[in-house]
Amino acid sequence: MAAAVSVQRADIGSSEAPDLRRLRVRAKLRRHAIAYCFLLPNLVAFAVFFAWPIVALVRQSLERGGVLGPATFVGLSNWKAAAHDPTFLHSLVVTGKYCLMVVPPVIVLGFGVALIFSRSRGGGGSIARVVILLPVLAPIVAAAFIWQFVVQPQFGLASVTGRLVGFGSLDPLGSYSLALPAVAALDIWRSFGFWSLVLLAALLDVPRDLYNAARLDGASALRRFWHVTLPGTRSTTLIVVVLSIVFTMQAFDSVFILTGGGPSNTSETAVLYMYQSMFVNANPGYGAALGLILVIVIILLTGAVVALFRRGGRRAFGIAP
Amino acid sequence: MTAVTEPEPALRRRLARARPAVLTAVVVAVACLFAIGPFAYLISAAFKHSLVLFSYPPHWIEWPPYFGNFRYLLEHTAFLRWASNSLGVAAIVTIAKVLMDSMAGYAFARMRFPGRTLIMAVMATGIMVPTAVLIVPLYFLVKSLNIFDTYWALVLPPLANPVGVFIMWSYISALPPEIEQAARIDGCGPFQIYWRMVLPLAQRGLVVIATYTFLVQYGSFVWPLVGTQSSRLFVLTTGLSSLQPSLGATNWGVISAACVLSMIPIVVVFFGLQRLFRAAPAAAGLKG
Repeated sequence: MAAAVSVQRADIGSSEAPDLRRLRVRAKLRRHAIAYCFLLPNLVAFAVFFAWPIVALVRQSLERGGVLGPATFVGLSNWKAAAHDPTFLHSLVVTGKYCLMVVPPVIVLGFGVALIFSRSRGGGGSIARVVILLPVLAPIVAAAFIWQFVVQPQFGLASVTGRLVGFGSLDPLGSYSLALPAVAALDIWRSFGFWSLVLLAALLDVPRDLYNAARLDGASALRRFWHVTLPGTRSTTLIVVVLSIVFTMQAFDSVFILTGGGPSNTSETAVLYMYQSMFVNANPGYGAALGLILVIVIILLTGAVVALFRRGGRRAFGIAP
Repeated sequence: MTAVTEPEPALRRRLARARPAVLTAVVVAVACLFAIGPFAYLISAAFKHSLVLFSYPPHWIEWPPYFGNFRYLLEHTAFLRWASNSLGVAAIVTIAKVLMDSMAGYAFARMRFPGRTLIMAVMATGIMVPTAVLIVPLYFLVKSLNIFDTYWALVLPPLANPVGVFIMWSYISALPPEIEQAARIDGCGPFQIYWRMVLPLAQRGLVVIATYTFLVQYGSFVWPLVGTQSSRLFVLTTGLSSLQPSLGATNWGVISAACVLSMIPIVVVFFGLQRLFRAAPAAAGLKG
């Protein structure tokens, strides 16, 4: 009896298995095809206007010339030259300093403001929200011009206030030590509102019951922040930290418009130096190598931040859901 | 432990409760002042003649206000053309990106297919590439595609920006999968689920992407500068920068007026989108 049943089963298996398998394979292929349909518009745009230019850039970094005469293949010599270029290394240091001046204030301000907004109900809160978001909206050229009205030596807000209180006029953009902080202040001014908006969205999605439960358990505001707010917004916070570092490493527009790298290279960020190698020094191959090195630096840095976050996260949020 | 028997602890408790409120108010006030100060000064400058702007002691508010800067801008520059170019390009890019990114975000969040990890990794790497790095190869690409100095050159390259995909991926991943499963059991195909379930539920994500894309696009400067040439294709940013002469004195009055005017459309669009954001359902509110 048992043997008969097993024979029967084997029969069924042998006669229908290929069909079933084919059906399963076809269903799987269909699923994959559907997934690629959803991806298609993005993939095409990304391939044409992002991946292809990168490939062209890599090729360019292996060449010399190409502006006046035809380009010649020179192998890795542009890359090697970059590694020994003191101006490039200096621009990397400037970029690092710039990040340290911009990112921590932006994160602290952004998170703080988002926390306050997530609790306030109407009234002054909504006016404050509008006010804090205004700088985010200014197009970069307008923002840079507006910042001129703050730091310009003759009529700038800083200078005029300085004269009124007896400091005398100030010219931050012409000063070796103040030029970079003055540009950094522009970037803080115009970006903290955006990140606070992104963080606010995440904060509003943290279930209120968790806060109530924590409060019933007698958790202080600080502990509620540490054990409910941070774990609840962890993925968004990670994204905000990473993206703000990445965007700050790419700083170009604001420096380009405000100081052009001056005075005497004190505010020359890496992207600005790359731009100058390409357009001013007419050395596109070298500029391409610089750009690619910068991309690699940014990728390594981002990887380090993500790894740090993961490890720290596991320790701090280990018990969180 | 009532206030009547022990007044002191009650008072202390009230103070303790008030302290965060005071701190909150101070933080908000400082942040607001930091944000609004430059604008206030800019607006006051827009209504002054440039000569008055340079005078000391400062005239904080000029009365009666001087409208010459605005008149100059509207009569002697193509400001309105720049503004409509900016708005048109930003609107088209935004609509396209909201659709593209939500589709890709849905595929990444909910589907398993070969190449998924690789594509995500490559796109994530793409975020780390500074736009300025791509300017030169993009310039040659646009030339070889024969769209240099056209509206296509302004609209197409920004579509490759991968940031929105990841924003959308994180929003859709956070949605409870049960709703889609229920829809699937009811016989909905993947496109129906995307259109009827995912899009409405991920509205907040859509609004965030729309806001982000519009802002980036409205403010983009380097690419329009390199990718177009003729003044009829000037957008606000390239137009504004053309107001500063490479030689000679800058007319700061006109520039301040241009900055003030260029803020108006973006403020209107942005707060319109914010309205949508607040009206949208929060993802966490779905469980019930």
